[in-house]
Amino acid sequence: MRPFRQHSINCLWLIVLALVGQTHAQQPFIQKQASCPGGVITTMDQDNFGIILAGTRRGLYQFDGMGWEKIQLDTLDWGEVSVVKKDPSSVFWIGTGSGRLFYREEGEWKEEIPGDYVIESAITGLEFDGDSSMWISTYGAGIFLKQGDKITNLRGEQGIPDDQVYQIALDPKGRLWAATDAGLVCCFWNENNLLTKTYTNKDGLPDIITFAVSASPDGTIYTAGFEGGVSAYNADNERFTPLIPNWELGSVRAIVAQGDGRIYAGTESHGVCRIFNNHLSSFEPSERVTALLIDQEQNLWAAARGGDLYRAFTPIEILDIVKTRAQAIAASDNDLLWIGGTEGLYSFNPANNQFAKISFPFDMHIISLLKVGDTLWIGTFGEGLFLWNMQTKALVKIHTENGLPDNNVLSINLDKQGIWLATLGGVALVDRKTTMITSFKEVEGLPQSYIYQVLPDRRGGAWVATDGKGLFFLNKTKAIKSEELGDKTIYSVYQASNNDIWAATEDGELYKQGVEQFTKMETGSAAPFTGIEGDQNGNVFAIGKTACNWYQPSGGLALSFSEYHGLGPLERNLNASTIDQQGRIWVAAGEQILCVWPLKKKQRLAPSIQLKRVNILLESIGERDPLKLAYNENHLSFEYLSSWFQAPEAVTYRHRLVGYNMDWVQSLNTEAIYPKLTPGNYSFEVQAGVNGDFRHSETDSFNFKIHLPWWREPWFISAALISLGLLVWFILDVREKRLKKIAELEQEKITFQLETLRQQINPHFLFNSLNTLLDMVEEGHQKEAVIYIERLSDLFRNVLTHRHQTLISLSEEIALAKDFYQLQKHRFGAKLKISIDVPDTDYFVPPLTTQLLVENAIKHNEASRSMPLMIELFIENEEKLIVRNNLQERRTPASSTGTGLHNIKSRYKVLTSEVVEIIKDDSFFTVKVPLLKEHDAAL
Amino acid sequence: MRNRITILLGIISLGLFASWVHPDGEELPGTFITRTGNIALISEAPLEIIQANSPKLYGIVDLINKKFAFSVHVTSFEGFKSSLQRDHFREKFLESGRFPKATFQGKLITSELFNKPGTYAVRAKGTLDIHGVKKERIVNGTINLTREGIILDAALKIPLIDHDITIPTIVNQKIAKEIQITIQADMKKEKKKKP
Repeated sequence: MRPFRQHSINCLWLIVLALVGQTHAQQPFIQKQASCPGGVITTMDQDNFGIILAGTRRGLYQFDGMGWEKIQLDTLDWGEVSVVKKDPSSVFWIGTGSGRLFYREEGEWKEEIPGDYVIESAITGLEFDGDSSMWISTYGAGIFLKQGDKITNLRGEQGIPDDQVYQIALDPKGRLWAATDAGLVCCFWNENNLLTKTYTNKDGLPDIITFAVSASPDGTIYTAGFEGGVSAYNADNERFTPLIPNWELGSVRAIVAQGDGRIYAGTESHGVCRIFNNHLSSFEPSERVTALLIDQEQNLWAAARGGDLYRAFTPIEILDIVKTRAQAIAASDNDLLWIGGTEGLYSFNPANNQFAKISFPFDMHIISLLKVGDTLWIGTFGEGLFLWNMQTKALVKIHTENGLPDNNVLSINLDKQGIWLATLGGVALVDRKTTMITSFKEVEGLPQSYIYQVLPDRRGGAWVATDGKGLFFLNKTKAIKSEELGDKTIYSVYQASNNDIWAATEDGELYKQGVEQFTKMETGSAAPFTGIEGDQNGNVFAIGKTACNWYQPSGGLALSFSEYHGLGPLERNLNASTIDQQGRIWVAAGEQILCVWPLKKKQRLAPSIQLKRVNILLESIGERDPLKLAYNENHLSFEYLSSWFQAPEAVTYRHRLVGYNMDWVQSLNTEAIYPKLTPGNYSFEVQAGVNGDFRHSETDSFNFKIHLPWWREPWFISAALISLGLLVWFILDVREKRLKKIAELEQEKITFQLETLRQQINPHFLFNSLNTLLDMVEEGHQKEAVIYIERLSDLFRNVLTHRHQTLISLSEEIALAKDFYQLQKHRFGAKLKISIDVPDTDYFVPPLTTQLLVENAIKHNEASRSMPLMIELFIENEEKLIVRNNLQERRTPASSTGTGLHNIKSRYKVLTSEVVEIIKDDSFFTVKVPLLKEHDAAL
Repeated sequence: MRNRITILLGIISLGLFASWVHPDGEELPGTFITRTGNIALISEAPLEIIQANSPKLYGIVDLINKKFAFSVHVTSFEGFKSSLQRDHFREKFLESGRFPKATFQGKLITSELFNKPGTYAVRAKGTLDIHGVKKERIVNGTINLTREGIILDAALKIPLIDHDITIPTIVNQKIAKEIQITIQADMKKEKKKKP
């Protein structure tokens, strides 16, 4: 059934004629994808990132969809790789032709030495039962069972009838099946005892030479061998039954079960065969197939001669038909399809691709079909409706004369009330038994329009898709318009198994109504959709012009089939799809018929992504801790790879560096570079999507940290601040102390000056001096008197000169002291004796120190002619100036301010660390004054 | 004296052993040997048919342990249309200088006990060594067991590519990519040496 606008039927015909000329290139089921440089692949498996590992005579190779890479060990050549197998924890194992075992742990291959046995035969199979048990089959040494560190060799006596084991398979019940020349051996546990049973011809096997064995996820065991093809194990009677009797395709070397009933067999000389529902079909390459694999994307891989690797995308199959242009399709109970087209009705057996035309006395241009019980309801273009009983071959025609609103029946649907027809003249309901017709021409709210589809709702009522008038819900007597869809032309309306209503419009939109109103769905490039179908899990399949989309029950777009999968522009046949008992959706699209297999839960929906290499300053990061990068290791690049075998050209990437920029950057490159990163915590994230769609993408990430330079680390900054603080404090403290010292010194100086002045103008001193002077004048020693006066004036002048100085040279000081002595000499005469023995040195002392000490001595001691006061000044050890007098203290102590000695001590304390020593013993009073160098007085 | 006793004992024990192995001479299975088996090859190429055969097939078949071995000298093939053809066969294709012999040895895949005369269909699985390249093959054949011995018939097809035998493009049309081999051998029971 073909879409049209509100045009005349003639116009419709023009479209039909225009499309007749279109042809579609035949899409081969299986295509050569690559050729392994290592030669014939005998074993292969896929890792979690989609990379295929292939074992050949020349070693191990990996294939990422783009190219091959040989995996080599630095230390040795492992020769022929005869088994590649992934264990339950995704660790890869390989067995070699020389009986060695290797496994890959964190990217490194290591050799496994299985206990006490040296396996000298080629390893042909590896199976893993949980984490601890491993089965190893060999070609020549039977089977080994490794449980922890214990290894057992099963052969001969243990019931393995042949040491040459071709293949093994572990079924979900933990039984190991081994293909040998003497039949299929089953090893199973019976209360900790390992038993074996060999299945041979007696158990239904067509040939005791069994080459291949495979355990389907559902537990079915398939085996095949030299002759007789593939057999399946029936657990009820413990027998094998050949799936295809009279097998003519020779030896089978590999079997793989898809889990949906499809079994693929790799044959010795007839390529890949598919067995489904006991039907056999054979595909290219028509040569020896050595290994088979179904990957996470549901691609079937077949390894053939010369290392060639063939791929077939299995979720969708495209069948080319030339007999008719199919416009309607209906599935039958017995795997037969009914196909209606421009030339009439055909039966089609997809198992053997057989077409058979059903002859009718009428020409029928069929645009809709529905099978109800034994009756096939046939909607035609212009000829009304036909009811054909498939058993009795009776044909009934229903026409406008029988009450049909119009003779163009675009869709036929069934519910309890009867058969709903969409015609170019409106909606009609036909009673299944009586074929009584109820026309819905005059229903309130339902406009006059061409009707494209009438979909009975399982909850009651029916949805009516109109041409240019929108979507209506017909409820007995009233039609309610779905306002969200406005006046659009509705091509198709579908009720999913979860009762959601899906509607496709002519302008390329797809709507879903969950609980309340219709919301728009993502369509990608597939729109406009001309039909919607779905499975019992609520997944919905929308058939578009250029692509078909699988939607998840939530409405999310799961998988899109497009030109990459061999889909050309499809003929726009409205609602020309059906679902068969196996859950396969069939689409009639002119010269092609699409077969869509049920969407698998484990189907990979987006390309894998894997960071392959991280570089710092263009060098691989290697073993380095990425959280410990130095501040100048700030140029990072990331190399990643993905696999998406079904459409490698459609893969796009996006990446971001969390910590740098949260926005995703899309690109086609498989490398991202970040130069000049500032210190900080980062996380690189990368995803791979299909044509910019990242909804199902996985993320691979890499965390790293660039550290601050040491001088910007917080600990360093705080330490530096603390030290600086301490330094400032210290400087201030020193300065403070020095200022204090200066102040003290100043104070001392003033006090000293005061004291000295006070001493000099001491009334006693003056009185004594003046008395002495008077004596001189009276006795007529005029000259002496003048000298005395001069000396007195000199003394006063010197005192006044030096009192502001901190230090004076020792010689000056001694000169002062001499002056003072001369003055005193006049007064005391022989009562006072002073000896000065101070050489001329460059030492310094605080000024007037000696004078003060001499004066002190005179002041506190008696002096008489018989006991003269002896004062000595001399230098001790070139360190100290000693002022010593013989001790003859006055009986009446002189009035003393007591400041003299104290003042000297204080002044010295400020100037130097050396102390002024005052020693008083029985006979002497000694003061030791340290001699200073000039720089000591830097203050 | 001591020597004589030893010899006597030896003779007695050998006699006993022989009579145990052959209690009444009626035991059918055993080891069969031929040195004059027939092996023929036919190559049916579009332009030329090459035929040759050798009557010097050496073979041994052990029906008890179900093992066999056959061997033939490449140079023993005769009956070519021309000596040129023969020389090509020997030197160019099979390189008889480097690989003088072709052998096939392995096991018989059958559950038969061969305890009465008759014709048995058997399959022989073994390693076929031609042109220095070993390939595992399973060959269908029949064994006609009589009191006198066995007559063995077998046929197999050998793709030349399997054994790294490359044909110059120029003679592509003259040599088939697959060569058919037929074997016919009249084999006698291995004779026991007199003690």
